Amino acid sequence: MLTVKDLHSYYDKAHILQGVSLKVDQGQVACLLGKNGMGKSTTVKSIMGITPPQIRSGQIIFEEREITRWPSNKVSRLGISYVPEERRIFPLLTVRENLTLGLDIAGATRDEKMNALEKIYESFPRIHERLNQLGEGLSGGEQQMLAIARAMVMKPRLILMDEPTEGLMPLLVQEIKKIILALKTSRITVLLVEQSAAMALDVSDLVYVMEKGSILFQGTPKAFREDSKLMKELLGV
Amino acid sequence: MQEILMQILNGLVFGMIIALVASGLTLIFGIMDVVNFAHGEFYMVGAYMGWFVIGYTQNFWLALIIAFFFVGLFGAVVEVSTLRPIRGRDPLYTLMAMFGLSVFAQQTILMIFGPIAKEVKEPLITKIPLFALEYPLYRLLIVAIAVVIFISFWFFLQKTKYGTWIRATMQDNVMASALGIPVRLVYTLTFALGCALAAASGVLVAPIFSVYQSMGLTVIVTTFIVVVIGGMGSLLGSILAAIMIGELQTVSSVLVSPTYAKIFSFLALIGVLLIRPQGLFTISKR
Amino acid sequence: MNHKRFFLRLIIILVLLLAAPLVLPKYYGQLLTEILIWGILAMALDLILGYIGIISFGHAALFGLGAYGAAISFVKFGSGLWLALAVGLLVPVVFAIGVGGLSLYIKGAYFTIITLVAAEIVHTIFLSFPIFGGENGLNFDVPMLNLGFFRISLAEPVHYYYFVVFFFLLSYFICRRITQSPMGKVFQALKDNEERAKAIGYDVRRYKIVAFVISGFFSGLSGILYVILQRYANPDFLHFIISGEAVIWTLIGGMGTLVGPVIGTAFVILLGDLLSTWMKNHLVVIGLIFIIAVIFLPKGIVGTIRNRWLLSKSRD
Repeated sequence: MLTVKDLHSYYDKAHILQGVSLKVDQGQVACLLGKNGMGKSTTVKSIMGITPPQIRSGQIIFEEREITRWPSNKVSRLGISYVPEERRIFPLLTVRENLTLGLDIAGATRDEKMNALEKIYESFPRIHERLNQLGEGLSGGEQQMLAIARAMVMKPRLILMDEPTEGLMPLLVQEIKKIILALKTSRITVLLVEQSAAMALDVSDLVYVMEKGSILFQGTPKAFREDSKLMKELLGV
Repeated sequence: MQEILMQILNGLVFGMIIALVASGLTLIFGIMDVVNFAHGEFYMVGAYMGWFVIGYTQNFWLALIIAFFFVGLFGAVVEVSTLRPIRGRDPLYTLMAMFGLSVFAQQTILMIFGPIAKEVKEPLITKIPLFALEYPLYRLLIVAIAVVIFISFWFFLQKTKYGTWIRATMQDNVMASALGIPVRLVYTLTFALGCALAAASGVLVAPIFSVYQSMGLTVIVTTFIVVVIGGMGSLLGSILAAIMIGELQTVSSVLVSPTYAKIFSFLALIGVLLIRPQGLFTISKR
Repeated sequence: MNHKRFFLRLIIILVLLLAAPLVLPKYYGQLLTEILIWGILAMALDLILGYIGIISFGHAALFGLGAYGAAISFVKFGSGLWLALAVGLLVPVVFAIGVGGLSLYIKGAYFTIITLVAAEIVHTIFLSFPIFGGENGLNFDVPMLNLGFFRISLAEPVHYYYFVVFFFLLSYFICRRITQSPMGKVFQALKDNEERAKAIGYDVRRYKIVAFVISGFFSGLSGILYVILQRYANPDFLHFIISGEAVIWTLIGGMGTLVGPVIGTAFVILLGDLLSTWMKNHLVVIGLIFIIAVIFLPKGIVGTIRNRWLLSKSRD
């Protein structure tokens, strides 16, 4: 469904992605692991069409369509959603506005909107409680839930998640794990970037490890666990 | 006593005129991070357009509406042709491009219409009794129209779909785009709207101060002072600061002299920039 | 640029400048005098705009203060040329220290706004208060140039032309020395990355103020030379449009090149002169050219040529 071929991305003159290639099939959950600064976020941003970074060469193909260097609003409309690293909730919009923003752009009808929102309220009861609160008033965990809910409400076919568990309590990490598994059940494809590998390994079908701007390892979680060197580096085991 | 009262009212009227221009300027800055040095020229072109349309139709209100839309359109064209190509560069260039536009606009208007100021008749000449003096109804109407515009604008921003797009873009344009908002289009519309507001102000002020080609420069200096004091990007801040500066300038013009009035405003500007650079009326950082 | 080449170009320019009055008709001689005077202002602006990277719309005030300083010296103190020069240079320098000081606390577009407002205020002050002559300004007779062993009347256009050439070359050399000195490199660093310059340990504040002082000095010089040429000082000399035109010349010529702004000045003034034979409002065209230059030719004439030259060199 998503293919990235030999991608080279730069921040100004810094050559961050040095030939990244990966492939995710429909319905799969793939994770992108690696230490800080290895280019994981940059990869996801490049896929989403966010600049900077600038893509200088390589290809990104989504459902047989080349989307390299497409602006992010166009990418979004193809059915790809993004949950960014810092959550990036609109601080001065209410929770409801944060959610409906994406829907309005997709041009949903009133009924479609109601349906989509109802589904979200089921999965995210805490959000349902806080509909009229401003984004900046939510706690870190609530903001993360909202960021994910916001991405899900648009019924995407691919969700890009950048470190969704960062800075969250273990309890919330488990909730996010449940959400990702639920997405998988709904046949939504997920590309998950994580620094802490533990949770990611539990939910993923496919593991990619990045180092210094390119893919170092590619395989199943089982294969990953059998690689003691990687296990030590990324899980400290 | 009566004189002071008259000036206080005049200050309010003047403040509202500036508020309209300033709100456009602060909107453009808040959403696009662009300091529109040509903003005064959109005000000026609006006034000339108003005069022109009145010349043909004798209808002041029609002229106001036409000027609003046409200058808005002109603003959109400017944004796409001049601002968009240089958006990624050092903001220095955007400032200079807008300055160039102001020179171009002023001189073109001068070329077309000549140096003699144009007169526009007030659409209403009745005076109404107010607090023991007789005050021109038209000027009060300006205040009323400005208030209506501001309220509609607030409503647009808070309650409509496109208004929410604009607010989202202002708060986080990267994320807004990632959600599918056509951010480039939002920029163009915002710029157009800002220019249209300035144009409306130009038409409204025309009967009071007449229409001449350097009126843009006159207003932009006060507008900048207002926008900075109110807080760049804060609409409410601009409105409040505009009324404050409007009163300050009008009253001190009469009590002391027009020159000192300008000096006071300038000192206020420096004071705010040194002590509270985010503006007097902003609550948060932005 | 190596020394031989530089000196060769220098000699050529020197010869051209010195021979000009013999070759050019009187009108163009006058125009050239003005171009050189404005060229000094453009170089002064370039120090701030092209090197430090701040847009200032206040240079008209510095120019005008120099002009009025000299004029007041002539009219109110009855002074000779040298005292007028001293006064005319002192006033803008003091003002520049103040402006430079402000630039330490107020940055970016906010600072540019301040320069605009300040220029307006200064203009209004000189327009309103009668000691400055109000709307009509101040008139005076052209002073004699007293060189000790002989006196030259500066009223003669040719004499004045050489007087201006002297100061122009002097200004250019001093500015060039400054920009090529270590201090000049710091100025450049301030434009490219102020934070890094601070981190390396440069006292950014001192350099900024010094830059403004130098800029004020030469702007004032330009104003003095202009006011002597015109034999009167007028509030228009302080009008913001002068600042604006200087920005236009500097960009079109090439910011940060020092030579560029002078060439830009010559280009715009000559073009304006040419256009004014056909149209009354030549600034319409100049304004349009400026906008196009900002978008498509941001390095200006000299900057773009130098860039191309450097690129072609690196290809060999």
